[in-house]
Amino acid sequence: MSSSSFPSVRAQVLFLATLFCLLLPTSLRAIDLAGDKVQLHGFLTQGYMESVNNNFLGDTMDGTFRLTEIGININANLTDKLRLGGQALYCNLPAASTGTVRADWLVADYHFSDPFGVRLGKVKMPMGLYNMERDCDFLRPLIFLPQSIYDETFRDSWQALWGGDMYGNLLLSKWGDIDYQLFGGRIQYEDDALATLASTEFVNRYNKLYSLFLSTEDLDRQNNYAYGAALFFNPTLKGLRGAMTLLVLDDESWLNEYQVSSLRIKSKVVASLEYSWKEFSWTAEYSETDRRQEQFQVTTLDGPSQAWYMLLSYSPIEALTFSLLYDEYYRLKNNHHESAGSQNLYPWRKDLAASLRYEIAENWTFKAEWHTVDGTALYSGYFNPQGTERYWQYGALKLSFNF
Amino acid sequence: MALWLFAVGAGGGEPPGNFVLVVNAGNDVTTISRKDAELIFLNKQRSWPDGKNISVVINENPKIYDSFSHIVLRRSSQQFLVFRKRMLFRGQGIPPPTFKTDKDVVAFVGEHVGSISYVSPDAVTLAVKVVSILQ
Repeated sequence: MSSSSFPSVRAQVLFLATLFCLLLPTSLRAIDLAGDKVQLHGFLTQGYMESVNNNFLGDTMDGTFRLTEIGININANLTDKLRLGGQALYCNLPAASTGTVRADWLVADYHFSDPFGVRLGKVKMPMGLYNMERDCDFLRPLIFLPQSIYDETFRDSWQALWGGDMYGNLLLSKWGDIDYQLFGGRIQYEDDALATLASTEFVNRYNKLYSLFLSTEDLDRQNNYAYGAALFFNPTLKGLRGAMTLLVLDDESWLNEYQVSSLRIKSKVVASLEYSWKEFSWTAEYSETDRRQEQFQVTTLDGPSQAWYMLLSYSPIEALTFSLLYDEYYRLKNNHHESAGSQNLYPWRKDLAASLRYEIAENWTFKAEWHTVDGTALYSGYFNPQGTERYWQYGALKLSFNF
Repeated sequence: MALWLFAVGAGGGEPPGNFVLVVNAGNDVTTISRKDAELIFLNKQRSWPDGKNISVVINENPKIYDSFSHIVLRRSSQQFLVFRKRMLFRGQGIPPPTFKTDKDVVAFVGEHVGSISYVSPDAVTLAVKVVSILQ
């Protein structure tokens, strides 16, 4: 599978300069390149984040402006049924190295009929309510989605896969309608993907434990397959939406010719419910991930994790939303406070957050949020090699523009 | 010609409606259910009964945009905007053309077979046809 990154600095600079030039003549509208048949859109976000007691996703305890996302997409309706499109994405996050331009999605979409269409290429992977739109800050309710389900470490890898999906809309008579997706293919882990980098943590740990000198520079993470399904239920009851998604995948990590670890996700199931009533909205998602992990051919993890969150939002005016989040993650569903197979003393993550979102104009969004966390599950060890604190906090500010 | 104006709100705190649904004058359709209209404007129903492709046009005339969104789509105009952006940036479709005035919308629908939009009742011309919405 060919790489979709453009590693040269020149290519990145060219991309950013082109995007900037395109933004100049247009403020609020798409650029129509051939009537309404070809459209160009994009977005640009810049944020600031800081954490207390632990680093989160990189060196964040001293504060960082490395919270940038730039995307540009082009779509062409070749016929009434056939569409070609793609989006290039540049992310600069606080993690050790993310700063290349990637294909976020790249699809050939053939719409046979309303109940049945097919997309081939790099397609967005549904997981819960928000995985497909994680790269667009102005579409997410928070700057950092509930980490129990939307682990930021996997964001740049699990948001799309190379392969395809079948999709459609099915009417359920008086009950409403259902959008479905069935997808399959392979996830591409870039060398600088956060998931690849985080997976070096155990190699470093083994080096330390057994006085080894294994280099992590050549660690290569591969996905053998990924597939799943999603159902989004839109019932007749106004304001209610439900979803159920399933993901199965198989990963291996290689150090030169040696397989050093494997991860098989037998099932990651997310059940979602969202309800809006007047100025209030309520979202809850529950997830279990049944997985088996081996490191140096020793099973270090076998069983389901457990995750859930609840998000309450209040919008006194349509442009302004205040939200409260409570988010819980346990590495082992059946053993919440034991860290079998892990060096982590606090293998859970309980996150209480407050956030503000303000739509400054149709295409401008400002967000601010603060999280207070108990526990250090989800790769905190990688970002804090000096050790982790059980109680820690992080916050962020972000401004987004899209056209 | 059947014409159903949303002269008053449908209850439940919804704003009063003051729009009509319009299609190209050559379209055979005369009525449409609210649910079908919702699916059409959400890009989930893309062809007319005769098989012709549906071409949606968004009218952002502030006098009718909110009431159309609340009554037909059962969501706010802001939520409708987010829906269109979500479709675009997820790679699931191209958002429909958008105009700010009834006049521009009527001109577009009048020129494009298969198109559908909504305008103020007094903006209707012979180039377009009003279709009634069945609940």
